[in-house]
Amino acid sequence: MVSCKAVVAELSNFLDRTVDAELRRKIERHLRRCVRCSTLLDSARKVLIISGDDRTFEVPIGYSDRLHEYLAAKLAEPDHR
Amino acid sequence: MTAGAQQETSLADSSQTGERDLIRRIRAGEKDLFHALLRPYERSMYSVIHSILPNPADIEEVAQEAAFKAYLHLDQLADEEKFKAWLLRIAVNEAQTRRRRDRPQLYDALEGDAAEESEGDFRPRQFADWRDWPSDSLDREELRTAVRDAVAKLPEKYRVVFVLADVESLSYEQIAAMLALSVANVKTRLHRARMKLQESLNPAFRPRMTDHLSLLKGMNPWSRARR
Repeated sequence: MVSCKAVVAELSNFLDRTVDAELRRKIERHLRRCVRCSTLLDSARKVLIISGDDRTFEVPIGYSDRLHEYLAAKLAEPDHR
Repeated sequence: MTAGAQQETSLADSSQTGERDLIRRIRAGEKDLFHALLRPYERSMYSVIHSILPNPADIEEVAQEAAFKAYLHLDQLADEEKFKAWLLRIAVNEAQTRRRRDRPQLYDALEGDAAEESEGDFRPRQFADWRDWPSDSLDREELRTAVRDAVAKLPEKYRVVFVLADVESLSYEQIAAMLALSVANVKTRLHRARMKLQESLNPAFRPRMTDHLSLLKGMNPWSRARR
């Protein structure tokens, strides 16, 4: 049985599925019995889902327009290509 | 490869043919097509620059400069399939240059630290219990705000890696190349960022009373865990 310390140290790798099969089985066994580690994993997984949601990190209104206006002006300058 | 990067790979395959074609046509002189090439990644540029520079006006200025720089140096893009990573590397470089210019006291904030690689066992002292939030409730603005605030509070070197990996879904290898770090460093920083987020989110979501009492007594919440 792996310890809580070992499970937490591997939690990111576990989430990213980069732990080998044997260690994965051990961690899964630990998680079935340990409320704290399974709580941490569950919460970490949910934070990742929210972080990957486009609405979480929004850009200011008009950002895209300003970016492309700037680019259009630069691309229109005669020296560029 | 991070969880997000795996998903992104399959999605990207379908659009890469069109992207390669765009790059070739821009290189051949159809410069206005650069707008179309950039559009899918302009959000990513903003997020990545925002992880280094806090001021919205600076972010936009640096995004504009980085985009134009990418256009000027498009001939130097060695692998047409990696435009996103290449563009974001330019954005990171431009943001770092701006930060060094404006805040030279923070010059080393993103630099690698050899000792860091062996210090991967960071454990949150307390963390959020989100088991009662079902998956279909995760689109609540309340949760997004809490995550956004927690990410903003991360130390910069962790925040940048977190954004590149978990918001922008870049691979460890791409992030390592972008920030001139080892892959081990990237993994360590990402792990710490994720754990620090858990620690930071706890107060926003009311720990269970039992955890709260143990913390008040100065107990480590892990001490009661099954070993």
